[in-house]
Amino acid sequence: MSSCRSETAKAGLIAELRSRIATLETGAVPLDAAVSRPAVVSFGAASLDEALPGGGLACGALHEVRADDYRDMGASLGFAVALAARCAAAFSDAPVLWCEGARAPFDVGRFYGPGLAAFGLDPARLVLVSPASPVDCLWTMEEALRLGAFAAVIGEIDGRANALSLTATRRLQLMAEESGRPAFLLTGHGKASGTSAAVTRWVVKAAPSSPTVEDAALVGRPRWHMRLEKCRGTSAAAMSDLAARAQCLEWDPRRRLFGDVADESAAAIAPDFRLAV
Amino acid sequence: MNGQRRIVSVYLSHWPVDRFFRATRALRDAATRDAALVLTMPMNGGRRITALTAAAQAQGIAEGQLVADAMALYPALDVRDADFAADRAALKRLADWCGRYTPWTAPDECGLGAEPDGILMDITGCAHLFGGEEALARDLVTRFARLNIRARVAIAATTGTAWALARFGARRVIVLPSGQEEKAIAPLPVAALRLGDNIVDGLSRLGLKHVQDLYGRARAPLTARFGRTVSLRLDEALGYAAEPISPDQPLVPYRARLLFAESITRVEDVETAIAQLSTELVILLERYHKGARRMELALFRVDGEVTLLTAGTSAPSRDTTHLARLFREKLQQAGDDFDAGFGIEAMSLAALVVDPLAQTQTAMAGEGAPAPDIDGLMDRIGNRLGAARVMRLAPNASLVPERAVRPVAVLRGPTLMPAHDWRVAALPERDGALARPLRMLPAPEPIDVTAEIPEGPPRHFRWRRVLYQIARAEGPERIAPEWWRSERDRTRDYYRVEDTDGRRLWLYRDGLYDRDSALPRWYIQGMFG
Repeated sequence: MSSCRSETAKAGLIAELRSRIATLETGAVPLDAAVSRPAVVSFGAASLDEALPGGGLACGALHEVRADDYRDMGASLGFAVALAARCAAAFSDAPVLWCEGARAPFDVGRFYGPGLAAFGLDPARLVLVSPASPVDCLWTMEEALRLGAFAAVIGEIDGRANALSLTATRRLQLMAEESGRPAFLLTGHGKASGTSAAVTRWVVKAAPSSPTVEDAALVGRPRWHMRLEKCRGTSAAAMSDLAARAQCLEWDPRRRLFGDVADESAAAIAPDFRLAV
Repeated sequence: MNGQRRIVSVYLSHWPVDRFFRATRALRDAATRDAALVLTMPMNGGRRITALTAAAQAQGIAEGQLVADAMALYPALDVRDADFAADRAALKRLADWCGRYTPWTAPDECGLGAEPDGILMDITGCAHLFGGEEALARDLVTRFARLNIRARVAIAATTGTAWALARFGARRVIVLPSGQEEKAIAPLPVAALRLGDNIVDGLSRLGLKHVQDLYGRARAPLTARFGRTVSLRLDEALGYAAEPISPDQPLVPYRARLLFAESITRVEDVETAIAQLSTELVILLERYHKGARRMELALFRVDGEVTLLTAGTSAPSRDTTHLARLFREKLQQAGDDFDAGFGIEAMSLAALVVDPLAQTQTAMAGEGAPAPDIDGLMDRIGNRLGAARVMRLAPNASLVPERAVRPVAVLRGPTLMPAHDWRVAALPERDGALARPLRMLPAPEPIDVTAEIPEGPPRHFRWRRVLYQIARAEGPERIAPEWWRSERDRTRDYYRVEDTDGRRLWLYRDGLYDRDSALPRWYIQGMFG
């Protein structure tokens, strides 16, 4: 019994030493892919994890996130950053590659280090790419997925761009499947023009933040209304149930976890959002 | 030391005219080489001729003549504008193209007239690659002739002698073995010593018409009369005084080159050549324990142009496939725009910037696949999209929010930054409180704000023509300007606000009511997501 335990301890020690030597030699960050390679990333919010096939966000898959309205772009961005932080947590802090949209600086601005850090995504682990065109963006995402070293690969592309065809999304989906890493497309606002090979599509709308204990006037943890517009691998009945149930999610930046919002009044604010299905 | 060097001086005898026809051929101009054509320039006394074709010369027209006089001689004269800037630029390109012989090439700043009209090359140790100096010189003249550029070439041990022989020598191609400079330039006119017109005039008035007249002459009187130039130029020509040449292109020891027997035009062939070049370069780098950081690929085209492609790496690299791939992707990106002209006859790949790179053991025995190469991917993305488009966020020591972050291009340093504590020290910790926005607008945008009391938080505001009703507001967080930077900056009061729908935004009031004379203004700066 004890010898067995010392054996495993020894193996662990050797693995640890090896990774340290690798770091010394190349200056690279050890990416221990073998240790954590989950099939799904759980949201941490029980109701959502249960509703999704596999019990969470599928890893080797392409997901789409879009804003319900132009003014919800900030909210959809926040949700996407939360997803990326969640993936980074699941993949032992592997770096995240983010392709900024060509119009993003005007619409929602550019990433800000202190804000990202406060939100739960370490800026030191974030590689920012700003491709000039959707074609370049898709190319970058594909290459990054093929490498399989990133916890998540996120691209902001206008959902109505011609380049974002079924073929392009299928390629991304296949690449994600192969590498076992999630890819996200932030398709701005408004419905996409073409069909997509993405596994899920989330529609996000801003929601008032959590109430704070100290003072009602203070801003609390970020919350969003969301609706699952598409989810491959669920039955039609379950899907209509999912779609009809617009949900309110809360993000805990410090623990990097989503949470359900039990508060009925907070969740019930968006009747028109639910009708929009 | 000078005896060891071998310098080529190329004299382009009709450069402005040849250059003009090369340019107009590209523009499909009707001008033909047989026409009586002159290039002119406004000077004192009117437009004067700076260069002319043989046909114009046959009509009795000469350089320096007034255009009006020339027109009187031959009314059908084709008069065009000279363009010295274009002449110089084209000469520089031509000098680059001569890089196919040696990396050490430069336009010769010193010409017979005021404008440069030649190229200097140092071919020390290169000539055997082209079958000897004589063969190299002949090859150069033939290739120039094919480009419709008339050239005379001289190879000698010193720049001065090569220059003199190229311009005043009896033959088109002269190769002078070292040690014979004194004899070779003795019968040439003193102008062959690269002296100004006034000095040449002065010397000839003294009866000193040929270089040999200066040999053995007391130097003090010459120096007293003409300055140091005369004896200096003579010493340089004879190799008594050293004369450095500064090459146009940076000199790098890490360079691989390839000459093709037949010129190539297909992209596939170029790619094969790139693979071969990078293999050679890597062998070179390995020998010196270096890794490439910046590389330059030069494609020498048959039509006398050089296409330069550059690529950089974020970490020193000696990986053949990686280096070749960077350029292959550049070529692919050019796609149909890739212009091989009439073919590529030589290529060179140089590592312009190198860093030390020791031999590393990449994998332990028995270990599986190596770790994914993020640096390599960053290189490829950076080279395809542009280095400035791949970046990380680095902290910057400033309390002014927009200056607290600075984007750093990935190609200059490690892909991943060291961890940093981004917390804003001035703010108390509160669960869920986000002190700073996720994204910042490129520049703060002015908004119209209504507040209950002037110094208080806003009630509602209008941004991009949409009204936002504020439900919650947190603040103010006062941030003083960095007075040492700009005196116009004002103190800001920041508010974190949430509208009734739950949009979280970052606003600030620029200026204080009781302190500043101008009224404070409101701006929106960021978004919390």
